[in-house]
Amino acid sequence: MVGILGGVMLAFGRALGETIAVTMVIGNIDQVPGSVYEPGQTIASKIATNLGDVTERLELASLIGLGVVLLAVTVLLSALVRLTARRFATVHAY
Amino acid sequence: MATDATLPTRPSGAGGARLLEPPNGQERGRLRRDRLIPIVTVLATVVTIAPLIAIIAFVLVKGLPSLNGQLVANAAGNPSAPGALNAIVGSLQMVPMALLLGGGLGLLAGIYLSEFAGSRTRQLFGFLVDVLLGVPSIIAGLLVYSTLVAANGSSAFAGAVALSVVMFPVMMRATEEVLRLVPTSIREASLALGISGWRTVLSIVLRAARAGLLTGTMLAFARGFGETAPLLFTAKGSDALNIGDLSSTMSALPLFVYQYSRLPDRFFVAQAWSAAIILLAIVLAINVAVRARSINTRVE
Repeated sequence: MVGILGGVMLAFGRALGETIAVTMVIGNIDQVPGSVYEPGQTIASKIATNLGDVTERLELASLIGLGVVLLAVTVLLSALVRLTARRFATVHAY
Repeated sequence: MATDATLPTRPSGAGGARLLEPPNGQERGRLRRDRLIPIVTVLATVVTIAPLIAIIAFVLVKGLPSLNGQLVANAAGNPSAPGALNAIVGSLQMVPMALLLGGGLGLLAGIYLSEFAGSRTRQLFGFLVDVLLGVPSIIAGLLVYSTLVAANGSSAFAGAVALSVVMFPVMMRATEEVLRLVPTSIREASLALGISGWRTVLSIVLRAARAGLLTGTMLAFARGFGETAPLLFTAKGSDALNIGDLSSTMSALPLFVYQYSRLPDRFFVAQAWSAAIILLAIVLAINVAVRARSINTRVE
């Protein structure tokens, strides 16, 4: 059961960090979508669309800040998984 | 005799005999449920491999029409007949370079963890590498962007470094696991013959594990070859054919697919599909080769 939960969390972290596949289809509009059919944004897609043409320091800092949030969440998730289920250590590699 | 008639014709109460009778209602329900679960799991398995088939089918249908000589002969910057040669050549430069950086580092770190590190160190670093494996690849791009690119601007070198960040933990994990499969007795035999520790690792252990190491290298290569996100702000992409100029921007196959699929022009979108065929063929070929090998050598 711990193993399955670990698998779920790993899959969650994987989806959270997926960038290109999401950016291509999500619409990249900065709004809270009213329904699942409306365009929106994820942290990864926001970074992918906007980092290429930053002009202001604050914008750059904000995007890197978003990256820190994403990093913190994924690191926390995978650390939690590895600490509870060592057997799933190699799931990501293959 | 009367007692003969009351004698049981078969042992009563034994479970085996009861099964010969047709199942009653309750048993039929249980049997049905027992058959249902395998069907559900089989269906789920089919659904999970459906994307693979759909991807291959879609990429072929959409990409084959414009997969032609022009695509592989000309760079995207060619004014009369644009192609994707710049992306192909870019991938073939940046990924091997990233393999040299990240793969080499991963190999050395894997050797350290498997051969020299104590069990506490191995656990700690193994844990950290696993966490690194879970870090999204866009973060690798962000890291290189805010360091290398911020200092020197976008370049193919920055792209290779970002790719190596993604490839390093893959190579390191594979190396460590493969080396641990090499029997300790081989190391002891080598040491007993008076061969020094580093020689033993280099000539005996690595040699014994070379099939597995090649597998790990191929996995790391395939991983780097398919990555788009680390290249977005580092190598950035370029329509010009860039051979050997590591200080300027460079395209790569996944980057080409991503950027051209967003262009408002049917021709370029079709070219993105065609480039996707090349990308998919290379990555799938490597992965299939790796799986086939690991079945033969029993080393993953």
